Amino acid sequence: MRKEIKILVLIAVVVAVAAVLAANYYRESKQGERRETATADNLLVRPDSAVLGPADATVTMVEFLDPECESCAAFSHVVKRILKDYAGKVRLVVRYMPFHPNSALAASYIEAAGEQGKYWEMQDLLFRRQSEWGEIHGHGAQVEAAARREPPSVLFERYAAELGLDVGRVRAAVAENRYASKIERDMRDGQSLGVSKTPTFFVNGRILMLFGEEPLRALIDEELMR
Amino acid sequence: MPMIRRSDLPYLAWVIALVSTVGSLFFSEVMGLQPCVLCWYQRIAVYPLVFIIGAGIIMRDRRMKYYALPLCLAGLAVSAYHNLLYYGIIPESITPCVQGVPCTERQIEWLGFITIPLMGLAAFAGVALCLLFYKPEKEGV
Repeated sequence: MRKEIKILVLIAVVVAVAAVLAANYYRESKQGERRETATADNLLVRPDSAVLGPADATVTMVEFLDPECESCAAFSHVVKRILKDYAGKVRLVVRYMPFHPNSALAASYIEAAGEQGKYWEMQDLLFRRQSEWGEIHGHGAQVEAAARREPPSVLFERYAAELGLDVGRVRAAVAENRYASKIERDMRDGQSLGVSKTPTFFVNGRILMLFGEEPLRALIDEELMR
Repeated sequence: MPMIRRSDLPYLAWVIALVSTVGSLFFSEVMGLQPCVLCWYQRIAVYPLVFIIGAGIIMRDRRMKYYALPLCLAGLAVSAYHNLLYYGIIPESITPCVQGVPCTERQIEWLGFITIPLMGLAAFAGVALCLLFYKPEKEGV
Protein backbone atom coordinates (compact mmCIF):
# COMPACT_ATOMS: atom_id res chain seq x y z
CA MET A 1 0.00 0.00 0.00
CA ARG A 2 1.16 3.52 -0.69
CA LYS A 3 2.70 5.42 2.21
CA GLU A 4 0.12 8.20 1.85
CA ILE A 5 -2.81 5.81 2.16
CA LYS A 6 -1.32 4.22 5.27
CA ILE A 7 -0.91 7.60 6.96
CA LEU A 8 -4.45 8.72 6.09
CA VAL A 9 -6.00 5.45 7.24
CA LEU A 10 -4.03 5.56 10.48
CA ILE A 11 -5.14 9.12 11.24
CA ALA A 12 -8.76 8.32 10.29
CA VAL A 13 -8.79 5.31 12.64
CA VAL A 14 -7.36 7.38 15.49
CA VAL A 15 -9.97 10.13 14.96
CA ALA A 16 -12.81 7.60 14.68
CA VAL A 17 -11.79 5.78 17.86
CA ALA A 18 -11.43 9.08 19.71
CA ALA A 19 -14.90 10.13 18.51
CA VAL A 20 -16.52 6.88 19.65
CA LEU A 21 -14.83 7.09 23.06
CA ALA A 22 -15.85 10.73 23.42
CA ALA A 23 -19.44 9.89 22.44
CA ASN A 24 -19.64 7.12 25.04
CA TYR A 25 -18.08 9.32 27.68
CA TYR A 26 -20.46 12.16 26.87
CA ARG A 27 -23.54 9.91 26.98
CA GLU A 28 -22.48 8.32 30.24
CA SER A 29 -21.76 11.59 31.98
CA LYS A 30 -25.00 13.12 30.70
CA GLN A 31 -26.95 10.06 31.77
CA GLY A 32 -25.34 10.29 35.18
CA GLU A 33 -26.97 13.64 35.90
CA ARG A 34 -30.03 13.30 38.04
CA ARG A 35 -32.96 15.70 37.83
CA GLU A 36 -35.23 16.41 40.75
CA THR A 37 -38.36 14.25 40.88
CA ALA A 38 -39.30 14.36 44.54
CA THR A 39 -40.12 18.02 45.15
CA ALA A 40 -43.53 19.47 44.44
CA ASP A 41 -42.34 21.92 41.82
CA ASN A 42 -40.19 19.53 39.79
CA LEU A 43 -40.45 19.67 36.03
CA LEU A 44 -40.54 15.92 35.47
CA VAL A 45 -43.65 14.84 37.34
CA ARG A 46 -46.55 17.23 37.68
CA PRO A 47 -49.38 16.42 40.11
CA ASP A 48 -51.85 16.06 37.22
CA SER A 49 -49.63 13.90 35.00
CA ALA A 50 -50.99 10.50 33.98
CA VAL A 51 -49.36 7.72 36.02
CA LEU A 52 -49.41 3.96 35.52
CA GLY A 53 -48.06 1.76 38.30
CA PRO A 54 -47.75 1.96 42.08
CA ALA A 55 -46.97 5.32 43.67
CA ASP A 56 -44.24 3.73 45.84
CA ALA A 57 -42.42 2.12 42.89
CA THR A 58 -38.63 2.20 43.17
CA VAL A 59 -38.28 3.52 39.66
CA THR A 60 -40.20 6.41 38.11
CA MET A 61 -39.98 6.36 34.33
CA VAL A 62 -41.10 9.63 32.76
CA GLU A 63 -41.89 9.48 29.05
CA PHE A 64 -42.20 12.63 26.97
CA LEU A 65 -44.32 11.48 24.06
CA ASP A 66 -46.29 12.74 21.13
CA PRO A 67 -49.47 10.80 20.23
CA GLU A 68 -48.78 11.50 16.54
CA CYS A 69 -45.14 10.39 16.64
CA GLU A 70 -44.60 7.12 14.84
CA SER A 71 -41.66 6.08 16.98
CA CYS A 72 -43.74 6.65 20.11
CA ALA A 73 -46.45 4.39 18.69
CA ALA A 74 -43.93 1.72 17.73
CA PHE A 75 -42.15 1.96 21.06
CA SER A 76 -45.35 1.82 23.13
CA HIS A 77 -45.23 -1.98 22.88
CA VAL A 78 -41.79 -1.93 24.44
CA VAL A 79 -42.98 0.36 27.22
CA LYS A 80 -45.88 -2.00 27.93
CA ARG A 81 -43.56 -5.00 27.98
CA ILE A 82 -41.20 -3.25 30.37
CA LEU A 83 -44.03 -2.29 32.72
CA LYS A 84 -45.17 -5.93 32.71
CA ASP A 85 -41.68 -7.32 33.30
CA TYR A 86 -40.99 -4.88 36.13
CA ALA A 87 -44.51 -4.97 37.59
CA GLY A 88 -44.64 -3.21 40.94
CA LYS A 89 -41.13 -1.82 40.61
CA VAL A 90 -41.57 0.70 37.81
CA ARG A 91 -44.20 3.35 37.32
CA LEU A 92 -44.75 5.29 34.13
CA VAL A 93 -45.50 9.01 33.99
CA VAL A 94 -46.69 10.45 30.69
CA ARG A 95 -45.85 13.96 29.56
CA TYR A 96 -46.79 15.52 26.23
CA MET A 97 -44.43 16.92 23.65
CA PRO A 98 -46.75 17.81 20.74
CA PHE A 99 -44.51 18.23 17.71
CA HIS A 100 -47.03 17.35 14.96
CA PRO A 101 -50.13 19.12 13.57
CA ASN A 102 -52.71 16.90 15.33
CA SER A 103 -50.69 16.05 18.42
CA ALA A 104 -52.29 18.50 20.81
CA LEU A 105 -55.79 17.56 19.66
CA ALA A 106 -55.01 13.88 20.08
CA ALA A 107 -53.60 14.55 23.55
CA SER A 108 -56.82 16.40 24.44
CA TYR A 109 -58.92 13.39 23.47
CA ILE A 110 -56.68 11.10 25.53
CA GLU A 111 -57.10 13.44 28.51
CA ALA A 112 -60.86 13.58 27.97
CA ALA A 113 -60.99 9.78 27.89
CA GLY A 114 -58.96 9.81 31.09
CA GLU A 115 -61.73 11.76 32.82
CA GLN A 116 -63.94 8.75 32.14
CA GLY A 117 -61.32 6.29 33.30
CA LYS A 118 -60.12 5.17 29.88
CA TYR A 119 -56.85 7.10 29.58
CA TRP A 120 -54.57 4.19 28.70
CA GLU A 121 -57.13 2.54 26.44
CA MET A 122 -57.48 5.77 24.44
CA GLN A 123 -53.73 6.29 24.23
CA ASP A 124 -53.30 2.73 23.02
CA LEU A 125 -56.08 3.05 20.46
CA LEU A 126 -54.67 6.30 19.05
CA PHE A 127 -51.26 4.71 18.73
CA ARG A 128 -52.67 1.62 17.03
CA ARG A 129 -54.78 3.62 14.57
CA GLN A 130 -52.20 6.35 14.05
CA SER A 131 -52.02 5.63 10.32
CA GLU A 132 -55.70 6.61 10.00
CA TRP A 133 -55.31 10.11 11.46
CA GLY A 134 -51.59 10.87 11.75
CA GLU A 135 -49.40 12.98 9.55
CA ILE A 136 -48.89 11.62 6.05
CA HIS A 137 -45.35 10.94 4.97
CA GLY A 138 -45.07 10.47 1.27
CA HIS A 139 -46.56 11.76 -1.94
CA GLY A 140 -48.94 10.96 -4.76
CA ALA A 141 -51.55 8.38 -3.83
CA GLN A 142 -50.82 8.68 -0.10
CA VAL A 143 -51.48 12.40 -0.10
CA GLU A 144 -54.62 11.99 -2.17
CA ALA A 145 -55.88 9.37 0.24
CA ALA A 146 -55.16 11.73 3.13
CA ALA A 147 -57.19 14.49 1.48
CA ARG A 148 -60.19 12.19 1.35
CA ARG A 149 -60.03 11.06 4.92
CA GLU A 150 -62.24 12.35 7.67
CA PRO A 151 -61.01 15.12 9.98
CA PRO A 152 -59.16 13.81 13.04
CA SER A 153 -61.79 15.03 15.50
CA VAL A 154 -64.43 12.86 13.78
CA LEU A 155 -62.13 9.85 13.96
CA PHE A 156 -61.24 10.54 17.60
CA GLU A 157 -64.93 10.71 18.55
CA ARG A 158 -65.47 7.40 16.80
CA TYR A 159 -62.63 5.86 18.79
CA ALA A 160 -64.16 7.27 21.97
CA ALA A 161 -67.48 5.63 21.07
CA GLU A 162 -65.67 2.34 20.39
CA LEU A 163 -64.26 2.46 23.90
CA GLY A 164 -67.77 2.98 25.26
CA LEU A 165 -67.12 6.55 26.39
CA ASP A 166 -69.77 9.23 26.70
CA VAL A 167 -68.94 10.98 23.42
CA GLY A 168 -70.96 14.07 24.32
CA ARG A 169 -68.84 14.65 27.40
CA VAL A 170 -65.64 14.03 25.50
CA ARG A 171 -66.68 16.48 22.80
CA ALA A 172 -67.64 19.12 25.34
CA ALA A 173 -64.36 18.77 27.22
CA VAL A 174 -62.30 19.10 24.04
CA ALA A 175 -64.47 21.98 22.76
CA GLU A 176 -63.86 24.08 25.83
CA ASN A 177 -60.10 23.57 25.41
CA ARG A 178 -59.81 22.22 28.92
CA TYR A 179 -56.41 20.57 28.45
CA ALA A 180 -54.60 23.18 26.39
CA SER A 181 -52.77 24.72 29.34
CA LYS A 182 -51.66 21.34 30.63
CA ILE A 183 -50.32 20.30 27.23
CA GLU A 184 -48.54 23.62 26.77
CA ARG A 185 -47.02 23.39 30.23
CA ASP A 186 -45.77 19.87 29.46
CA MET A 187 -44.13 21.18 26.31
CA ARG A 188 -42.49 24.04 28.25
CA ASP A 189 -41.26 21.62 30.93
CA GLY A 190 -39.86 19.37 28.23
CA GLN A 191 -38.05 22.25 26.59
CA SER A 192 -36.56 23.32 29.93
CA LEU A 193 -35.37 19.75 30.44
CA GLY A 194 -33.76 19.69 26.99
CA VAL A 195 -36.24 17.31 25.39
CA SER A 196 -35.89 17.73 21.63
CA LYS A 197 -37.25 14.44 20.34
CA THR A 198 -39.94 11.94 21.17
CA PRO A 199 -40.03 9.61 22.90
CA THR A 200 -37.58 10.87 25.53
CA PHE A 201 -37.29 8.94 28.77
CA PHE A 202 -36.13 9.95 32.22
CA VAL A 203 -35.52 7.12 34.68
CA ASN A 204 -35.50 8.41 38.26
CA GLY A 205 -34.57 11.77 36.83
CA ARG A 206 -31.76 10.47 34.61
CA ILE A 207 -32.19 11.05 30.91
CA LEU A 208 -31.88 8.06 28.57
CA MET A 209 -29.16 9.12 26.14
CA LEU A 210 -29.11 6.21 23.72
CA PHE A 211 -32.64 5.37 22.57
CA GLY A 212 -33.70 1.73 22.51
CA GLU A 213 -35.18 -1.08 24.56
CA GLU A 214 -31.87 -2.48 25.83
CA PRO A 215 -30.42 0.88 26.99
CA LEU A 216 -33.74 1.69 28.69
CA ARG A 217 -33.78 -1.66 30.52
CA ALA A 218 -30.14 -1.19 31.49
CA LEU A 219 -30.88 2.21 33.00
CA ILE A 220 -33.88 0.81 34.92
CA ASP A 221 -31.75 -2.08 36.21
CA GLU A 222 -29.09 0.38 37.32
CA GLU A 223 -31.67 2.34 39.30
CA LEU A 224 -33.17 -0.82 40.84
CA MET A 225 -29.71 -1.89 41.99
CA ARG A 226 -28.94 1.37 43.84
CA MET B 1 14.22 22.64 11.56
CA PRO B 2 10.58 23.50 11.11
CA MET B 3 7.98 21.38 12.89
CA ILE B 4 6.25 20.45 9.68
CA ARG B 5 7.62 20.52 6.15
CA ARG B 6 5.74 22.60 3.65
CA SER B 7 5.27 19.51 1.54
CA ASP B 8 3.40 17.87 4.41
CA LEU B 9 0.91 20.70 4.90
CA PRO B 10 -1.89 18.85 3.04
CA TYR B 11 -1.86 16.27 5.83
CA LEU B 12 -2.50 19.03 8.34
CA ALA B 13 -5.26 20.45 6.15
CA TRP B 14 -6.80 17.00 5.87
CA VAL B 15 -6.68 16.44 9.64
CA ILE B 16 -8.35 19.81 10.24
CA ALA B 17 -11.11 18.97 7.74
CA LEU B 18 -11.56 15.49 9.22
CA VAL B 19 -11.72 16.73 12.81
CA SER B 20 -14.19 19.47 11.74
CA THR B 21 -16.36 16.86 10.04
CA VAL B 22 -16.34 14.45 12.96
CA GLY B 23 -16.68 17.30 15.45
CA SER B 24 -19.70 18.81 13.71
CA LEU B 25 -21.35 15.40 13.62
CA PHE B 26 -20.53 14.98 17.30
CA PHE B 27 -22.28 18.27 18.12
CA SER B 28 -25.42 17.33 16.19
CA GLU B 29 -25.66 13.56 16.60
CA VAL B 30 -24.21 12.97 20.05
CA MET B 31 -24.87 16.24 21.87
CA GLY B 32 -28.14 16.80 20.05
CA LEU B 33 -27.38 20.41 19.06
CA GLN B 34 -29.34 21.36 15.98
CA PRO B 35 -27.21 22.95 13.25
CA CYS B 36 -28.42 26.36 12.08
CA VAL B 37 -28.71 27.24 8.39
CA LEU B 38 -25.28 28.88 8.15
CA CYS B 39 -23.75 25.87 9.88
CA TRP B 40 -25.23 23.69 7.17
CA TYR B 41 -23.66 25.78 4.41
CA GLN B 42 -20.30 25.45 6.15
CA ARG B 43 -20.80 21.71 6.46
CA ILE B 44 -21.42 21.54 2.73
CA ALA B 45 -18.00 23.11 2.21
CA VAL B 46 -16.03 21.18 4.79
CA TYR B 47 -17.26 17.60 4.29
CA PRO B 48 -16.01 17.24 0.70
CA LEU B 49 -12.63 18.69 1.71
CA VAL B 50 -11.88 15.45 3.56
CA PHE B 51 -12.35 13.50 0.34
CA ILE B 52 -10.73 15.81 -2.17
CA ILE B 53 -7.69 16.69 -0.05
CA GLY B 54 -7.38 13.00 0.77
CA ALA B 55 -7.48 12.12 -2.92
CA GLY B 56 -4.97 14.89 -3.65
CA ILE B 57 -2.57 13.49 -1.05
CA ILE B 58 -2.85 9.94 -2.37
CA MET B 59 -2.36 11.06 -5.97
CA ARG B 60 0.49 13.36 -4.89
CA ASP B 61 -1.29 16.05 -6.84
CA ARG B 62 0.66 19.30 -6.74
CA ARG B 63 -2.37 21.14 -8.18
CA MET B 64 -4.44 20.34 -5.09
CA LYS B 65 -4.91 23.96 -4.12
CA TYR B 66 -6.69 24.74 -7.38
CA TYR B 67 -9.64 22.57 -6.53
CA ALA B 68 -9.52 22.44 -2.72
CA LEU B 69 -8.94 26.13 -2.09
CA PRO B 70 -12.11 27.48 -3.81
CA LEU B 71 -14.27 25.17 -1.71
CA CYS B 72 -12.38 26.17 1.40
CA LEU B 73 -12.67 29.89 0.62
CA ALA B 74 -16.42 29.55 0.04
CA GLY B 75 -16.68 27.97 3.49
CA LEU B 76 -14.44 30.67 4.92
CA ALA B 77 -16.72 33.37 3.49
CA VAL B 78 -19.84 31.84 5.02
CA SER B 79 -17.99 31.32 8.27
CA ALA B 80 -16.77 34.92 8.35
CA TYR B 81 -20.33 36.15 7.80
CA HIS B 82 -21.59 33.78 10.48
CA ASN B 83 -19.06 35.08 13.00
CA LEU B 84 -19.88 38.71 12.24
CA LEU B 85 -23.55 37.96 12.88
CA TYR B 86 -22.83 35.85 15.91
CA TYR B 87 -20.74 38.45 17.65
CA GLY B 88 -23.18 41.20 16.73
CA ILE B 89 -20.74 43.10 14.53
CA ILE B 90 -23.34 43.23 11.79
CA PRO B 91 -27.00 43.12 12.77
CA GLU B 92 -29.17 40.27 11.63
CA SER B 93 -31.72 41.69 9.22
CA ILE B 94 -35.34 41.22 10.12
CA THR B 95 -36.38 37.91 8.64
CA PRO B 96 -39.44 35.79 9.32
CA CYS B 97 -38.94 33.37 12.18
CA VAL B 98 -38.30 29.85 11.06
CA GLN B 99 -38.55 26.69 13.06
CA GLY B 100 -35.11 25.63 14.10
CA VAL B 101 -32.06 27.22 15.55
CA PRO B 102 -31.24 30.89 15.01
CA CYS B 103 -27.71 31.38 13.72
CA THR B 104 -26.85 33.62 16.65
CA GLU B 105 -27.87 31.23 19.40
CA ARG B 106 -24.96 30.50 21.75
CA GLN B 107 -24.86 26.77 22.20
CA ILE B 108 -21.29 26.22 23.30
CA GLU B 109 -18.83 28.52 25.01
CA TRP B 110 -15.72 26.69 26.12
CA LEU B 111 -13.13 28.56 28.19
CA GLY B 112 -15.32 31.60 27.75
CA PHE B 113 -14.49 32.22 24.10
CA ILE B 114 -14.43 29.00 22.07
CA THR B 115 -17.74 28.88 20.21
CA ILE B 116 -18.92 26.74 17.32
CA PRO B 117 -18.72 29.55 14.70
CA LEU B 118 -15.23 30.45 15.93
CA MET B 119 -14.09 26.84 15.60
CA GLY B 120 -15.51 26.82 12.08
CA LEU B 121 -13.64 29.99 11.18
CA ALA B 122 -10.38 28.65 12.63
CA ALA B 123 -10.80 25.42 10.69
CA PHE B 124 -11.43 27.07 7.32
CA ALA B 125 -8.62 29.55 7.90
CA GLY B 126 -6.29 26.71 8.90
CA VAL B 127 -7.08 24.64 5.81
CA ALA B 128 -6.73 27.70 3.57
CA LEU B 129 -3.32 28.59 5.03
CA CYS B 130 -2.10 25.01 4.67
CA LEU B 131 -3.13 24.94 1.04
CA LEU B 132 -1.63 28.36 0.32
CA PHE B 133 1.73 27.51 1.90
CA TYR B 134 1.84 24.01 0.50
CA LYS B 135 4.92 23.46 -1.62
CA PRO B 136 5.35 20.06 -3.19
CA GLU B 137 8.69 18.34 -2.85
CA LYS B 138 10.82 18.47 -5.93
CA GLU B 139 10.30 15.60 -8.31
CA GLY B 140 12.63 12.72 -7.63
CA VAL B 141 13.42 13.70 -4.03
